[in-house]
Amino acid sequence: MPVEVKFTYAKAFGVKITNYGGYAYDSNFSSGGRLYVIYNNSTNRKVYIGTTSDVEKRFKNRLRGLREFGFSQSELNAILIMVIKLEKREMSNSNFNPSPPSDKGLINVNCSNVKLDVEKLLIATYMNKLGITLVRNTTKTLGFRNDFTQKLIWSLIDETGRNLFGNGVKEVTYSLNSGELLP
Amino acid sequence: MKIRVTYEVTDKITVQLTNYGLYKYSKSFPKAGRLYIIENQATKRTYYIGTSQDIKERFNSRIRSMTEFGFSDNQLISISIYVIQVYSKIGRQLLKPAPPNDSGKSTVYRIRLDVEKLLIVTATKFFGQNVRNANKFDSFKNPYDQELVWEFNDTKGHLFSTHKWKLPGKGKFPDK
Repeated sequence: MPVEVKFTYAKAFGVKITNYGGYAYDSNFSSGGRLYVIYNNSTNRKVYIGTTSDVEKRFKNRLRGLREFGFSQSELNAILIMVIKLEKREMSNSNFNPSPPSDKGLINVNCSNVKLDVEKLLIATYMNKLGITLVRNTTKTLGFRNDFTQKLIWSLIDETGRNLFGNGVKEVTYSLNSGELLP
Repeated sequence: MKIRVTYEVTDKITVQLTNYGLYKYSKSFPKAGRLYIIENQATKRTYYIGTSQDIKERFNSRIRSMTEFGFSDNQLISISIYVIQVYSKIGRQLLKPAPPNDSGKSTVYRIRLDVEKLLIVTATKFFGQNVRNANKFDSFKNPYDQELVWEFNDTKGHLFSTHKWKLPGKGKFPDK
């Protein structure tokens, strides 16, 4: 039985400056463990992939930093934050279940003692499948190996309506056999 | 007897982006309580005044934000961080460090004095509307019965000219 993981891009956020000089997101974050991708079109390393066990708290702190450094609205317009829900199943005929990542980007897999590093898997996917050769991450960029005895299948699903994968594609699916390396 | 507070700019620190995409400061922050002023010349509200009981940890966290949001060299070039050490002196005693906590308060003559607020009010008077802080910018009241004298010593930052102010016991600054 393969291990299957769904990365659902559930929501996209921008940052705005209010009339009173306050900094705010244009939508509310939910609490809980999530992966996230931050795009910034104004740099040549356009993508950062992160993980947190509490996405609401993480981005509250990040907002304070933006305000203190005083970035302007035009600088903030280049930023888009995507929050990703994780689900997993280990039996083909069962349902996918929520599987929030830890602060280290790991999720439990019942059939193995090894945890699945979903953050590392997503970084490797961007660098090898989605054409983003340079990311802003400084760790976990050396590829991903399937350390399970089972095949690993993962899908990226765009529910943001922002055409994240181009050409109107809403879902992309990849797989790795046991022991196989990406790239 | 006078109560004196001295704000001394000890460092001016900038943010740099290396060829490998790493964000770093031009020098390290002390692991101690400090006030700080962040200047961003690219915005209308140029100055932010903050406080931290561990400024090193605070700015380690800020640089993680930089990495994640991904600002470019051009955007970082307009930013400078001024580290400010606070000292106090009571009457004829020697000047001694009075590091602020995360609320901007230093213990001076048995009172938790809001040195962050005093600096924000002073800076607002100097810089006008150019301060980004959203609170503590209304007037400051001297909590002591004694005269409060404060000075800004800025030999490294060139933010303010060195200046001295004084406020009578229980007096208000600015006095409207």
